[in-house]
Amino acid sequence: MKKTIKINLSGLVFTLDEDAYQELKNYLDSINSRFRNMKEGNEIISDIESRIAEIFQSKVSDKKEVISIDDVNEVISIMGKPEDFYEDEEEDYDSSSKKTDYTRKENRKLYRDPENAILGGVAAGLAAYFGIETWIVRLLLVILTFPIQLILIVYIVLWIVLPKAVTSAQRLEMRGEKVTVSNIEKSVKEEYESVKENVKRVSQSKEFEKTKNVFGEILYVIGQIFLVILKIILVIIGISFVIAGIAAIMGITSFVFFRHAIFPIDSWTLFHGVPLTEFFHSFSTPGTFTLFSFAFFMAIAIPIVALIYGGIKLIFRFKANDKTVGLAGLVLWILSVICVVTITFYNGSATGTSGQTTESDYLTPFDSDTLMLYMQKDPGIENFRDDWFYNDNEEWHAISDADKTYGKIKIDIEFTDDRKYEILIQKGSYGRSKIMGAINAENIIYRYSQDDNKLYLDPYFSLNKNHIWNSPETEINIRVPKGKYIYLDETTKFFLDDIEGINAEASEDAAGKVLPLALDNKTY
Amino acid sequence: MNVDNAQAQMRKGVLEYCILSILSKNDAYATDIIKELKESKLIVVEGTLYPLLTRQKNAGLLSYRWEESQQGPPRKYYALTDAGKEFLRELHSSWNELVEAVHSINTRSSQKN
Repeated sequence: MKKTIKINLSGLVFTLDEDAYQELKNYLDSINSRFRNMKEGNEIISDIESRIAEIFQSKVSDKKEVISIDDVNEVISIMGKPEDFYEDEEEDYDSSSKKTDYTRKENRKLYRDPENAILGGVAAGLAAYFGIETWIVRLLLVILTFPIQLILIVYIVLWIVLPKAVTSAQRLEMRGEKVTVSNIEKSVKEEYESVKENVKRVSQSKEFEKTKNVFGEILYVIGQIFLVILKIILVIIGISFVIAGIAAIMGITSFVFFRHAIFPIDSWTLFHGVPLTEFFHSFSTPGTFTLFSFAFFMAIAIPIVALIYGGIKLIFRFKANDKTVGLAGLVLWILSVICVVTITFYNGSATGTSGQTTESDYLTPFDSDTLMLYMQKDPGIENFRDDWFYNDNEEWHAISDADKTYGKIKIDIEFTDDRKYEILIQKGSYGRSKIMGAINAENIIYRYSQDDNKLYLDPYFSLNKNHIWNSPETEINIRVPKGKYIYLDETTKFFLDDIEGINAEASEDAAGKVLPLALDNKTY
Repeated sequence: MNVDNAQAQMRKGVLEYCILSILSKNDAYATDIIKELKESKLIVVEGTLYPLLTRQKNAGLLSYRWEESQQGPPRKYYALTDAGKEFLRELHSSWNELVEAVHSINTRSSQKN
C-alpha cells in the first residue's frame, strides 16, 4: 500500500505516489527559484508545468492511474534540471540583450521594496534609491515624524503611488544596479530562501486564484490588515524596549560611574534599606572597587543592551550575526556576574569582627545646672535637608558627597557620680579582626561643638571615601553628673537610643524634655 | 576549454535562429519544436526552450494562440510575426556569410598545410 497525493498541474488533476510528489515538488521548486524573479518568469514556469502535465497525461491510462517516481524522473530527464539549461541561458540572454531592453542604463528608479518592508516598504525603497542603510532611513522617518507630522502623510502617499519592486529587474533598478543576467542570477540566489516559501503559493497555481471565492478574498484582506497591525505593535514594543533600555543604561552609568549624577538612584524605592552607597564604599582597595564597579555595571548593562538590541531588531528587522554577538555578550555577562559574586564574598570575609574605639572628653564647665542638647542643624553636607530631623527617614542611610560618606549617629544618656559633664564618642567598625575593626573605626570623623551650656551634635559621623566602610557606627554617650540636668531638644528625637531611666521603646519620647524626668516641670 | 563546451557554445548561438526557422515552415507548439531540435541534436533538455520562446515572444518576434488538446492542457501554438520574419531574414543572410567565412578559412588553411 502506498500513499498518494492529488495535485493540480495546469488545470489537470493527477494522482502521484508520495515519493513521486516529493521529487516533483523539489524539481518545480528548483525551476521556480530559477525563473521566478525574471520578468517573464511566471510565463516560463507555467509553460513548463503545462508541458509536464502533457507528459503525465500520456503516462496515465485506465489501467495506470497513478504517476510513479519513475514517471517523474523521466519528466525531469526530458525537461532537464535548471542547472542543465542554466549555462545556455546566460549566453542567450547576453546576446539578446543588445537588441532588446534587457540591459538598461544605470538609472535608479524609486520603488517600494516589499521584501524588506515593515509597512509598505517605502523606507526600504528610499534607502535603496539613495544607496544608504535602510535602518537610517527608518530612524530618520520615525524621529522626524514627531515634529513634522506631514511626513506621515507623505509616507502614506508614497505607499499608494510607488510601485512595488517585484521582479528581479525592478529590484535591481531600485538599487541602480545594471540589469544583467549575472546580476539577476546573483539576486536570484540571494533570494532563494524567500522564494522557497513562495513556491507553496505557485504550486497551488493560477487555478487556485480563480476559484478563490469572495469569502477567501475577505479573509485574505483581513489577514493582511492583521499582519500590518501586528507589525505596528511589534514596532511599538521595540521602541519601548529601546527607550526603557536607554533610560536604564543612563541610570546605571550615572550611578556606577558618577554616583549621584543624572538619576538620584539612591532614593529609588528599590534601594531603600539597602544603603548602596555604603555598599560601594566598603571595598578594601580602590582597585577592587574599580573592578567591582565595572563588573557590576556589565552585569546589569549587558541584559539592558540586549533589550535595546532586541528592540531595535523589532523596529528595523535587520539581519545580523546574532550568534557571535550574543555568545560574546553572554560570556562577558557570566564573567561579570562571577566577578561581582567573588568580590562580594571576598569582601564579606573582610568584615568579620567588630572592633571599637572610644574617645572621651569633659565638657567645658558652665554656670547653668542644665545642659541643652541640640542637633547641629546645618552639618554642611550637600543634599542635607532640615526636615529629616522631623521624620524617621530611610534616606539617612544614603548620604554621601564628593569625598565623604556619612552615617547617622545614636545618642545615649547616662547619669553618673562624676561631677562633670562628660561626652564619650564610641566608634565601631568591622574588620578581619577586632584590632582591624578598631583601626577602621579610628578613621571615623565626628564633630560636636559647645557654646556655654549648649551642646551641638552633628547628626552624622563621616568617613573619607579612601577609607573602608565596614558597617561603621558611632554612639555619642553623654554622662550627666548627679544633681544636674539635661534638656533634649526636639531635633534629637530620632537619634535617641539608650536613655537611662526610660524604656528602650520609648526613648524617642524623651525629646523635648528635661532629664531626669522627676523634674520635668522645670521650665526654661 | 574543452570540445564539449565549445560545441555547446556553438549550438547555443544558433538555437534562436533555428527556432525561428522551424516556425517559418509552419506554426508549432513547444513540443513540436523540441522534437525537431532534438532530432538535429541541437538541444538535450526541453527546459532550455521555454525561456527562449517566451523571450522571443516578448521581443515581438513570435505570437501565439491557444489550441485545445486531446491529450493534455491547452497548447500554445507559436507563429512568426512580421518582425520575426524580418529578423529571420537577417539571420539567414548573416548565417550564410558565417558559413562562407568559416568555409573559406578552412579551405585556405588546409591548402597551406
